[in-house]
Amino acid sequence: MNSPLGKTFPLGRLACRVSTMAVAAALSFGSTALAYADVTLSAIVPYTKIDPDYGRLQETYERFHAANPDITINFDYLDHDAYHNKMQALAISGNLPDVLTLWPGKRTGYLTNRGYAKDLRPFIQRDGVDKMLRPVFTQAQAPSGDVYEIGVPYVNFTNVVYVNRKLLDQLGLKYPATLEELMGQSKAIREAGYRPAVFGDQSNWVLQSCLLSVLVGRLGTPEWFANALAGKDGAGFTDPPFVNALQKIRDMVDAGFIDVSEPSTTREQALSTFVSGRSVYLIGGIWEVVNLTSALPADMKDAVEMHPLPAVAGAALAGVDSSSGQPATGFGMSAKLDDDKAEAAWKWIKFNLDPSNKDIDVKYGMLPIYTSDVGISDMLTDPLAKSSYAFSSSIKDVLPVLDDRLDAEGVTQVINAGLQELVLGSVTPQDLAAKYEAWVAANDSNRKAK
Amino acid sequence: MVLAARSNRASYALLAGPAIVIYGLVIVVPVLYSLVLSFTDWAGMGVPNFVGFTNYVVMFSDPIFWWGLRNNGLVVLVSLIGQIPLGFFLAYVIYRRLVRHSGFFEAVIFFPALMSPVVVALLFGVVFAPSGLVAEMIGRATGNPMFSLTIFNTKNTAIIPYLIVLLWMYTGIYFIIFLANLQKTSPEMLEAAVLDGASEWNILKSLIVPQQIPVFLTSAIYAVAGSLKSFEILWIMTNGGPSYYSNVLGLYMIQNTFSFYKYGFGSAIAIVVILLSVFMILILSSIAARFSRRFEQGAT
Repeated sequence: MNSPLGKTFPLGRLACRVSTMAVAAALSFGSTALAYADVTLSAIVPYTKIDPDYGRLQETYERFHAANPDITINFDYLDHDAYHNKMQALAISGNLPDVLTLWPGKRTGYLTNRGYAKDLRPFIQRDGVDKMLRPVFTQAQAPSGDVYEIGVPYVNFTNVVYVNRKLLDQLGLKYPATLEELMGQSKAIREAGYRPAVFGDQSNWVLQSCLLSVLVGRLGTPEWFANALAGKDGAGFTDPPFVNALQKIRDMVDAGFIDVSEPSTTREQALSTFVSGRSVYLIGGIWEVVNLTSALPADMKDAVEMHPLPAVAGAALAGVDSSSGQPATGFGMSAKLDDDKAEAAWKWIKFNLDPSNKDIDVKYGMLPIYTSDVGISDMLTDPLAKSSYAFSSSIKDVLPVLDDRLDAEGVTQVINAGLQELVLGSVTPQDLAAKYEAWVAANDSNRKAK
Repeated sequence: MVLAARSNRASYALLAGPAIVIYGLVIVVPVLYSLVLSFTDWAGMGVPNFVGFTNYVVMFSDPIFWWGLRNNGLVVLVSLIGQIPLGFFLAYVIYRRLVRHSGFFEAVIFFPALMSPVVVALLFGVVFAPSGLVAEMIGRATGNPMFSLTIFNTKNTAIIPYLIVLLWMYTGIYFIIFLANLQKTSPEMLEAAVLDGASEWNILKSLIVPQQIPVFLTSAIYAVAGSLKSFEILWIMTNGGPSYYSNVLGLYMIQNTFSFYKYGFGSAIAIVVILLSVFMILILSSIAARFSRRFEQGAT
């Protein structure tokens, strides 16, 4: 021990230990880095490479990958219907991709209702994402309160009243404050040789999605709607809010506001009627902005206004700052993901809704809305895009869309078909409501969940 | 003898075997598979549960099914008493050179059958739209610019535009089939009939029609099978609407199977369509056999 190294031995041992620890630490770090570098996620999206969403996804991913070179996502692209078919098969076989494209409503219920998607609430709350988003984007997507997806914070509003202001001025009319006044304009508009409003309901979901939903949402309280869905406390679709909403539609037919030809008019024909200045109002979703932008002559773009439906007499929501809508589709993750993959997937999900990417969203026609102004209106030049953003920002209450919350079969075969019969006068609001309530009670998954 | 018989059997098996196997795989197996599925609640995923005759009970109690069946009946009728007789008549007129420029008329009559059903559906969708071509013409003729075509607004008449489209589009197919078969008629026989002083009506009734009975039967089978399964034009043109007024069984099946993921229920509809086709074809065969016997007896 008295060797010349005696004094140096502890130092050498220390050096050895330090170097061992350093190597171990480096290895440990390396293995973590290596593991993270190896995070490769799989994803399938419901559109093909010719879809505008493809371009948006590519640009967003390029920016994401530049900021997170350690995460790679391999995307697969499928047509909308093929996507749903394949996802069902993959779910059954236990081969779901890591990143899922999900709908906030029932469309991907075959995944979210069966435990295939992870609840994002822990991530949302941990990172305070809910503070920058309006409540509609992080609201419960299941009776348990789970949130399975978040996308670009953009609401697909299904009720927007597009107004040809030039025509309205020419007729000496103003956009009315109440639905009754709106109906009251029909006679004057028809006498002048114009159609009061066009919908284009041949595909049969338009009247339900773009008119009935907002009427039901305003006439009933959110509590009533939740109870009617679940069949709680005796609530159902024979209750006054639903029957009265149907009655309002019948009243609009009787007043001449809705034409009896609507059930056999296509969306394209309706749009053409509005663009060619033959109708004063076009009622549809916010997506019509894209169609109108390309179809309207330049001088008419300034003359088209976007309004919410006027106030409805007897409504629980008396104001006009509400519209029916649903958040856009977004990304979720497979319930099977381990911690590393889940963190990587969450980074991607969060990146998509980050305001710093708003330029990409705006470029592709999505105008996200946040709790605070992030300067989107300054980026817009097209008058219709400006109107669209102003409309979206002005809506305080996003009301449920029926086909987003109730089973497709009942909505399509009973409500959508029944609304066309209601317009044609073959069924009464009461009978249609009773028929639908019977269907929901016997078949709808919301009631079965109860 | 035994060796020869065995050799014959082997030859038959060798020649017919591949066709039988392919037919079995493409036709028999899917039909049997559909039959089995029709007794389940299979939703396209998971394990199907046996539900007995529930799908059939639900289907037979659904007014949309019966209305679709009624509309299918009208489609079959238009095929049998519209497309086939009209196709035969036009073929006869061209064959007997009762009009000039027969080549031009051949092309014009057959042209619609060459068009894509999607294009035809979109075209006639515009023609029969409430504010489409027909409405525009009537509006101008009557001086009413707000005129709107209401044929779709009535439950009983909503299918009529589709029937008109079918008549326009598929008559050309039967026209070509009949024209090809008429051209096989012996010219000497027709000449002899003319020399004997037979009128055009007698030539048609006593010479041409009896020869064409097998063609009528083949066309009728083709028409029935095609009429019961067709839906694509209707899907694009009216989407089965307004409401379910112009729905047909094919569309009803597609909607239930692929929109609502009711594969078991959709299979039950498919089985009913198959049974209906077979039943109607058997009836047609027996009618044609009776006609053939009558003409053969008449000839002897």
